[in-house]
Amino acid sequence: MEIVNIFAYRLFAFRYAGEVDNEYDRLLDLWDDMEYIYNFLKENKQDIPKHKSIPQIAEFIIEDAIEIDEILIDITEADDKTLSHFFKPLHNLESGARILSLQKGRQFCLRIYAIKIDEDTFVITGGAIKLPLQHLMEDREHTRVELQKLKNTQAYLDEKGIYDRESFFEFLNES
Amino acid sequence: MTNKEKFLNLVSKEETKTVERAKARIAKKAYTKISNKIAIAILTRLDELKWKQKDLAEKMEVSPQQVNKWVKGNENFTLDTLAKLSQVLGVELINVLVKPTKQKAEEVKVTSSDDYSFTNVNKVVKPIITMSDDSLYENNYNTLTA
Repeated sequence: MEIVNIFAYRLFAFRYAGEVDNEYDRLLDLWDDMEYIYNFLKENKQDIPKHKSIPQIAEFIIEDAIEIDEILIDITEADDKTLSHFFKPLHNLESGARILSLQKGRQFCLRIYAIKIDEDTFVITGGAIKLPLQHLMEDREHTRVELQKLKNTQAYLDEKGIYDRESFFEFLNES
Repeated sequence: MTNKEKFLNLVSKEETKTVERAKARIAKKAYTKISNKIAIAILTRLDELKWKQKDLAEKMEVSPQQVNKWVKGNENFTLDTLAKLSQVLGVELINVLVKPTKQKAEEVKVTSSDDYSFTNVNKVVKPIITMSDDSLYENNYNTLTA
């Protein structure tokens, strides 16, 4: 695996063996592919609330992806904003954030996972579509893979003498 | 050595195009939102009809690669293609709703005048009528002043 600078030497991302792109570019391209999104939503229909349809959730995903790009460009180009505003600790491996999303009535379905290096430096390890009715990351295969990536990259950094005091983080565009 | 310094030693020297790619996506977001919605509508309809993408390609007389491009989103559809797709799929893919936007037109400025008066003038046009004896009957404009 390799670490690359993606936004202004403040935000970094892993590029895994066999992948052309770093995790940020790979995910944002994937979330822009409607065939992939549609098939994913069909396969994970059990995690979509009954009152929401596949096209509605797809629309949330399209909007979320654009918002993530906009927020990250905005933060990394501004001197007075730190990445810590948007990367929050993964509480309980996600159920907390999910409940908050449901309370606000707007589903936020995209997650970007990262490890914090310092207040304004994060390294992205991966990301996932996490549908409203999914509780914990362990509950589904695609998020179990992401959890494993977080653990592997943390172990890699630890091996290189880079400590991580506050465990795992996720990007939230809800604030 | 700080944690960040140790971390930076691990970072590859390779430059990424992430910022450019993100900015390009943002620049075309208005059009992407529409083409993505159309892509989802096509995929939903294909499922309802139990058609494969190649079935649609045959009916539309295009290559399967072209249909795949449509369903991935990011296709700049022509109105011609959308109209034909709507017909073949039996669904309305374009629904034009003309409604005023919340945004104010920038060029419209409302100013007041201290000295404002008006005269309402209605002009009624009466035709020139040719009489049966070839004489002309001409009626001047009737001018009504309010």
